[in-house]
Amino acid sequence: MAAPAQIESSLSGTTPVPAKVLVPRLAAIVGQRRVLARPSELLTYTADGLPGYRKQPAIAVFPGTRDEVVRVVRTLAELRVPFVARGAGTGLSGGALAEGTVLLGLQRLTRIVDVDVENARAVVEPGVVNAVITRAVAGQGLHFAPDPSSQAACTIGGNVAENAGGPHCLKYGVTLNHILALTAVLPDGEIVKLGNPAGEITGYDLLGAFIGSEGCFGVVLDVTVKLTRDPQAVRTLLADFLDVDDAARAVSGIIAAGIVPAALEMMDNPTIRAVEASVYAAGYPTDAAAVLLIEVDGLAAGIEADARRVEQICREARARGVRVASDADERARLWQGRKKAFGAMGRVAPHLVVQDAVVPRTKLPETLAAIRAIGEKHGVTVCNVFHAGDGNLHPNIPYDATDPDQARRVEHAMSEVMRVCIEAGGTITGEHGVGLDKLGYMPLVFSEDSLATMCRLRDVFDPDRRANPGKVVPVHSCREWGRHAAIAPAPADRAPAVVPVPTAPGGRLREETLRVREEIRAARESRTPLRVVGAGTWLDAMRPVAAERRLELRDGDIVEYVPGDLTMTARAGASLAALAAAARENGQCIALDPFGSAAGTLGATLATASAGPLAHAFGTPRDNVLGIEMVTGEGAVARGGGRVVKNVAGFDLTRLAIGSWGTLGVITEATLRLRALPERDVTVAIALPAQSRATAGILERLRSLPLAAWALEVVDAAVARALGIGDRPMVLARLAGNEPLVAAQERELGALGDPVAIEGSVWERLRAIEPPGAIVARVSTLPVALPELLGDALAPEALASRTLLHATLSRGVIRCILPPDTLGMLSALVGRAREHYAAPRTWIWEKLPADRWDALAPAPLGDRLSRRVRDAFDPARILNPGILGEVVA
Amino acid sequence: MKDWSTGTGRMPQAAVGEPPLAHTHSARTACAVPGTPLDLAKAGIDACVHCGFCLQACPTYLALSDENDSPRGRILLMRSVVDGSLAPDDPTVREHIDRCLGCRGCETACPSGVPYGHLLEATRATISGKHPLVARLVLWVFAHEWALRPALSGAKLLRAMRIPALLGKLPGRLGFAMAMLDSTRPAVSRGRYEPRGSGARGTASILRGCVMEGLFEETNRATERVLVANDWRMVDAAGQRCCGALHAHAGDLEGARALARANIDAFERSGAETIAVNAAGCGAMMKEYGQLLADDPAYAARAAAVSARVRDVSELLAVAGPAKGGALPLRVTYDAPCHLQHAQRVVSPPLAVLKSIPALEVVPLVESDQCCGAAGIYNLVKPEVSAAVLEPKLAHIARTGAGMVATGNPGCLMQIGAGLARARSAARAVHPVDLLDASYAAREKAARKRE
Repeated sequence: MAAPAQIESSLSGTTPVPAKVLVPRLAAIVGQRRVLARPSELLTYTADGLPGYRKQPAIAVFPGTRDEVVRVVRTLAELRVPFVARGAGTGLSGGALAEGTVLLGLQRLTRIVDVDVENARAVVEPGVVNAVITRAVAGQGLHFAPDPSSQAACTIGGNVAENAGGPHCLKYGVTLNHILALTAVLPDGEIVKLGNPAGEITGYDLLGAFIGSEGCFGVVLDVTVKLTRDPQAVRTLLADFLDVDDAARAVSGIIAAGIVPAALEMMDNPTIRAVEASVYAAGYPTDAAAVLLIEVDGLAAGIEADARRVEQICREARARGVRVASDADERARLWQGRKKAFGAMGRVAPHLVVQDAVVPRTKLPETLAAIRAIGEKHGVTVCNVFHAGDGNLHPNIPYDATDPDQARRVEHAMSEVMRVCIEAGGTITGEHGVGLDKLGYMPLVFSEDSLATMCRLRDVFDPDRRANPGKVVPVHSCREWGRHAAIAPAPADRAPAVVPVPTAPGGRLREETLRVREEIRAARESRTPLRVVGAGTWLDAMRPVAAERRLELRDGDIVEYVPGDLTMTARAGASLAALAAAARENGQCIALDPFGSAAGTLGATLATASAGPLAHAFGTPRDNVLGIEMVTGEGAVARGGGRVVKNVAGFDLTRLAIGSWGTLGVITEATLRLRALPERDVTVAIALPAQSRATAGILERLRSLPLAAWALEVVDAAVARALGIGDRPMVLARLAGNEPLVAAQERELGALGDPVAIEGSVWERLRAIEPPGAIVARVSTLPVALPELLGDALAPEALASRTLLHATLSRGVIRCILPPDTLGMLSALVGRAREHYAAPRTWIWEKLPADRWDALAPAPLGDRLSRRVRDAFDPARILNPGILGEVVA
Repeated sequence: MKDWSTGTGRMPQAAVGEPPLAHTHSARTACAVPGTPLDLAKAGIDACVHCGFCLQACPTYLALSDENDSPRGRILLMRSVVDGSLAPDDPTVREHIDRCLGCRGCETACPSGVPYGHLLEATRATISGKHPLVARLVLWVFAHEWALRPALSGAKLLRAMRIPALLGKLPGRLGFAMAMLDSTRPAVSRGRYEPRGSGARGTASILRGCVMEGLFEETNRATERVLVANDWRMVDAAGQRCCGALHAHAGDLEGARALARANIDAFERSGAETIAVNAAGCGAMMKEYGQLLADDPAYAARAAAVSARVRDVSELLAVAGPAKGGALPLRVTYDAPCHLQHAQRVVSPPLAVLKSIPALEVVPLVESDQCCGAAGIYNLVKPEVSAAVLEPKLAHIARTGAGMVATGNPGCLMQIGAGLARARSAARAVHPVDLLDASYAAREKAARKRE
């Protein structure tokens, strides 16, 4: 095998870089031993965790420090050489393969830079192995929640690149929900910090966009991860079924019962047998058609009731037996079997195709039946091992690639499986990423406009397209957007035989989407700025938008609502109140309850990333939206995400649009993740003492109490008075769950004071607490700093006795509302507040008098990257110009 | 366990039923090295799906951070030799295969059941070019009884003169080797006692072993005493030789087979029902005699029968209880020899032995399942990598605050012992059997006092 003598540079017209030039340059940075250029030594780097693809890099380089990474990336930028970042190479989409380019291995960056137990976070380098993070905080009652099955080997850098999931993301969320901030070096060598480790995200959610970008946006240098408190109690159940359909029905039954298991996994018979033959044999019954591995966790009080209910549902679905793990060892064994199932397939045949499609949960039985039929039709064995609770299927086919007939049958079967999943309303990848493997399927789920918009986003981070070239988005989708990559599109070894889906995605756009598109296109032509308006509840924020013309969103339809899937797709003009009412009728709720007017629309809530009390338990809009449709400032209708609960197909336009205040595109539709209403839902109030020291002490204790509250809000005396619940500062807690769970939490709260039950409607009133014309600001900080800060702020002698003030403790956010008559003293108040809430607090102004925006609110678009995003999506600056405080030319 | 090292090897499919896709890969693909041990073992290569779960279980990957020095990287190199994309004498193959410790930690991490140890031996036997001089010398000495005995006697003489204790402080390979030799001095002092037992558990012979008998003879005697105390009846197995593990690991399969035959003869003659081994590496080798000689019609069945009689001494003791001894107020931690933990999959018995000793405090050791870097003669052939693997082990040991590190393999005892001495630690490496023996001696002493 001959070494490629030179590495193709990414830009046409430039001279390719000879390896003999590049190798010494790189060796000068990392040392001779850390640059591999002999083809024989590069062989091991020709594959990642996905069998079936082999791509030979030209050079592999392994920097050992952050500084070396930066210098390597800058050298590659200078020479315009494409590169592919790689961690442990355990990915299952061929994403970390470099064909004729430089492979940048990050496995030597294994430093845990900082562990902050108090604030439940850690800063780690990209090469730190996922499981090592949890091991590093073992004994502190914390863990890192994302648990991809490869967690014993895969690195956090790879988790960020792929937005990795895992069995427990059913309850705890995927990597996206557990990363607070990161530092990355962009392909051009610039170092950027994304996210905010000590408060709310301001400006565009570039952190959200970066996570899951599959190495196309830059190289991670460090990651600030959120650590999750260990559950007080865990029950792991193994239910076995003689019929796969019964198992699938049990899955639906559990979800429908309103139980959110920590994990809900299914394995079918061929998988069970492969696992039981391995060193990870877990004692699964080898004659079962399928087993469900179900884990419920949380506070000890509620766990028995949940476990019993799960067992009952399984038995009703004709489970032959249900076994509960008796101790930690048995639990670990049951999980080991599941997590190593993929590797165990190697016992069945030398090659393996691994799929990662997602379908709506309610479509599981019919999809599984269809997959079985496809397998039979093509004479191949499909081994199913998957995250049933998420509808995230992993149909794997072990086969022998050296048999051309078999290979062809496998290829057809896989392609048909994919089509079945897409037709069921699903997507092509839930957690493995697109990489090389699913490139050919991308046009089946995304329209040309969506793919082109994704390319736009990539170009913001990497205009040369040198980072992981040829992955994620098919190259032909990008070509029309000007600069072409000289890297040939990597033809997949096993190019999927694409079976066209009858209705192309985005083929049928709703009328209003078409109208919005036309209006934006016209505005762009005529350079007429537009003010995007839903219900108009944000107009009194007096943001300095330099637009006369309004683009109104009126369509408030619910497009699709399948209660069994816990998902709802609605048009942006829908009022949250209407959506909440529809969900409530089915015993469900949307976890979007932003502070402010109850008349607010879905679109505005997402565009402004507004959150309310429920954010304590369920996070902000970025954590609750599964997909969006938007019309960009260029007039392209783009979709991000999808309608299923787990989805990593394509770059994350969803996170980018949320919180962008309409400046990148107009959100026209969104799919939300819903929650089942609890069996019991009780709100209690506890009065706080008047002294700041005592209050801080109580809040500190509150932080460490074992609670599973849906909302936990601290309000000052003025808010308490306005709510009519007393005249002292209060803690408001919404306790939800089964009977014993709620009772236990009430007991816990009793340690802090005397919990008084109050009407649940207090939350609605709290949301609407601000008087018309009020000035509103949010201060956010590290959770640990909040009690003291609040203790002072809540004291009667505190600086702003005329303000209304409330705080979400777990998020570290204080919201200050100044009545309109404080306008005269605003500057003085702000001055004192700034002094009081000194750095590193993050300030976000919600509402201000029109003339104060310039003076008070820093423009969040100060950084180069954000400006480039804006330029890419709205080059003519016609969408809400000035709304983010940016200077309007 | 299935036989992977010979052409009769098949995937362990019995438990998986008959998958419709037969595992026919090796049958169809032409092999670039036909008839070699690697060719015969290639079904094992096909079991690897490159998932990478082995990476964190591999000491050389953890120390060197290059996938070429990881199990799946090495398997890919093996595959490349089989499919002809790399020549058997390719320096890359040589370098990274040589650098493998052979600890087989990857085997207990591998969901696909890749028989890595066998693949490694088959590869070494196939690509076998020249070993480094040190390695060739050692292998030759161990294969020739008349050279081995004087060599070990000389070493013991040196040790008695305390010369290694002095030279062990020197830097480099010589210094480390001397520190290893010095570390073989008995780690626990114990009084004499006469073991009493019923003999009801049947007859047992011990594998004396070359290094064990040469440098750890006190441990061998202790092994016999504790077995007697736990009701075995010891019988001698005369004519036994080196177990052949060093040769097999180095790819000298013929040398290993010759030694294995001699041992099979000896242990058949002894008639002992059980063969007790106190060196994890030797025990692992003997348990695999059946596979090593599967293609030898005269020996295949006999080898399998002998293998079936082999037990690590800790397995025997754990089954027996073991009998309670006297108080041994020490703080001890346990490091699992790879060939016990990963090759023999004997995990809890040594801990059970330690925990049975009154007053002995057993503190857990972080990453006790990771290799210490001894790996037979690896520490002499590849001192730098070996030292890099040993380094975290010593750090973990230091954190336990233990005065003793128990481990049941001579290579590990010397590697850890030398490492501790050179790090100026007061802690000593000790065989678990020696601790049990000391506990029995203490009981005897206490009983005498009472009388």
